Amino acid sequence: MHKLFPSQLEEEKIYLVIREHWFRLLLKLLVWTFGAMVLVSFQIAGPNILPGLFEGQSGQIVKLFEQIYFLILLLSLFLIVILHYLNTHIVTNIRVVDIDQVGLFSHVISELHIDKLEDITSETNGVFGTLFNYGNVYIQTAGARERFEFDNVPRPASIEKLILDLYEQNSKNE
Amino acid sequence: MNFSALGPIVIQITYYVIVGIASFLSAFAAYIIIRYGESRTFSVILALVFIFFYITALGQSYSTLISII
Repeated sequence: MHKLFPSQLEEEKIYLVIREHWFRLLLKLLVWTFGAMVLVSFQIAGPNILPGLFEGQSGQIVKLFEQIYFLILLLSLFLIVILHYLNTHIVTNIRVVDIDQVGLFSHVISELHIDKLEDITSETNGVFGTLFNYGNVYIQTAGARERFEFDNVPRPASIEKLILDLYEQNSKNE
Repeated sequence: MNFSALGPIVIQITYYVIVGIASFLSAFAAYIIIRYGESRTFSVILALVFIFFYITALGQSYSTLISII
């Protein structure tokens, strides 16, 4: 069995694997695209505006820095994609798991057993949040970590309802 | 002090520092997506695609550096 998180049990049923809404990823990619356009604009307009800079030895140096900038653009695109991919929230029949990739060097996994849930709130804010139906889910707990936050997730009200239904199901089974 | 001789050295040092840091971060990023990714196949493919484009761009920038110095 391929495990989504280290402590996943064989008989545990996965209900949801949630990531940030695609619109939030798109916003980050738009910022990245702006950075890429800066490079393209410089390459197109630069020789016309500053022709001396692009000739001879200085031209080679400018080309080198353009290539270094491109390397950094490539790296930043990869980081945007993997940070989106690795930040996940998982809802199973017995617990809620929050996997946070904070930068490159910090990977945090938090778990909350459904029966330890104290309060759950969902919210949808702003024009885009309302249009595209994404928002935040806050889960109050009695554990070491007081609050779980699912930021900018799709259909926050549905997620809240699912977790509450699983909590009631767990309560009946006990 | 011969400042004109310093130019290529400064460019080299700047290049190696920036590219060294970027390469370390790239390698580490590829490692963590393979290690923590939900789908092993998708993670490996994504990492390999990125590494391919990164090494291609790195090779071109290194050729440009050699032509300068």
